[in-house]
Amino acid sequence: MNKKISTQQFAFLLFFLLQGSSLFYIPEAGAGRDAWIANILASLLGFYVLFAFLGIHNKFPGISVLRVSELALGKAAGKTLNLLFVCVIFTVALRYLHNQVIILNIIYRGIPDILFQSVLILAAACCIYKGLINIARLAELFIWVSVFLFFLSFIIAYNLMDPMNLTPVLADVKPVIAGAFYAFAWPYAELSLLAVFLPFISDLGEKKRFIYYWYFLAAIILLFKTAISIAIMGPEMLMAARVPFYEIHRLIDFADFLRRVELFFFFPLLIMGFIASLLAYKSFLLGLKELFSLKQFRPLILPVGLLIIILTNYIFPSDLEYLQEAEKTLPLLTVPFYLFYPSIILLTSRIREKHIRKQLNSRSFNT
Amino acid sequence: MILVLTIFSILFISVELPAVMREGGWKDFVFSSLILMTAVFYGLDYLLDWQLMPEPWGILKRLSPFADTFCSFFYTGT
Repeated sequence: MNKKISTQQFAFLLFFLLQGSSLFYIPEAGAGRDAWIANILASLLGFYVLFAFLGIHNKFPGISVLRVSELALGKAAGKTLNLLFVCVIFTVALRYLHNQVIILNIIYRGIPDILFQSVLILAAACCIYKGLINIARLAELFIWVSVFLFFLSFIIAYNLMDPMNLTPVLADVKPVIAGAFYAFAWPYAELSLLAVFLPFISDLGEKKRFIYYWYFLAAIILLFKTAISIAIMGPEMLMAARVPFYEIHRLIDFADFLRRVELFFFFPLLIMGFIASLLAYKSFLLGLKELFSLKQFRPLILPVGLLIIILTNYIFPSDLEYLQEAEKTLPLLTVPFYLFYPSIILLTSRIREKHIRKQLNSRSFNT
Repeated sequence: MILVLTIFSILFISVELPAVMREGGWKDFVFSSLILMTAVFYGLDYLLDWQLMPEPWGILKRLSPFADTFCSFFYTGT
């Protein structure tokens, strides 16, 4: 059975990761009325991370970035960086699960978090058992529905917008810098976790541009989402709201006969969130497999799923602690790493290209 | 939580043990069992409030004041 996915399917997964991970949230909300500018800056930084990972893979096609890291930096430094990378992926998986449960709790009140978490993780484990190709097909099935619903949600929210909420533009630069920092940490830099999937793409060479197209479409949708949310809620309300994009859709009514429009968008957006969690989960499994040189990751699926559930509850016993630690403090550690990790591998792999090729050739000859 | 720990443990043993006995790969199985045990211990620690397991998020708790300073400098300018 063909286990590889196409470049287009990978691009769809990238789109779902960027949309699904931030879902109804606006991480750059702290930048106030200039949050949309912060979003643009963050997307450019995210583009650099994507470019760097694709550059590494272009040099050594079919080889995992974790392996290239070990060959380029040496075993000790490479393993240490890879361990940090896998830890970062794990924190992303924890955060995605927590965020999804927050959204589910708004709709299905009174149901314990652990039940949502178990159902989500078991469903994700089932998809992982089926293989990456099936996850990619799931993304392929939902992609156009999702894009259509995003634009539909922007159109129906149009009447509520007050463009004055977006002015004055760039009154203060400092909040924009911080907003860009937080928006880069979540969701743009999190595309790093897709780096472990690059060796599974069959036709990356000539179709690389698809990935950039879908990255920019995702960035444009995120930009619209931020700008519309500010225009409707205003900067102060936006900062106070826990799930702003969901809350603005609760304000929409069509006369007296069509209410609760947000539920119409809820299901497809939830699927996007689920795919994002699924990708983080699978990425962590692949990272562990590479890091500990395991033959396969299949036996890890259920234990890692359980570990994600338990540690999500252990680390974030309440949403308040989550907001302080995961959203405010964690980016201080992850943002430098997201920039440093691909940059150092890209740089050293270019400098030591001959040495890496020699090692790869001798290993393939020995095996 | 006890139910979740039990279900996952039973699922792991019933799904993965036969596969390992059939195809080999004991190293992977032992490694997975260690992760499962870590999850179970953390689960029990959380449930019974033992506070025996190491705090996995400790570094962030220590960095929290820096994050507050960062936010107050950039967002409120103080």
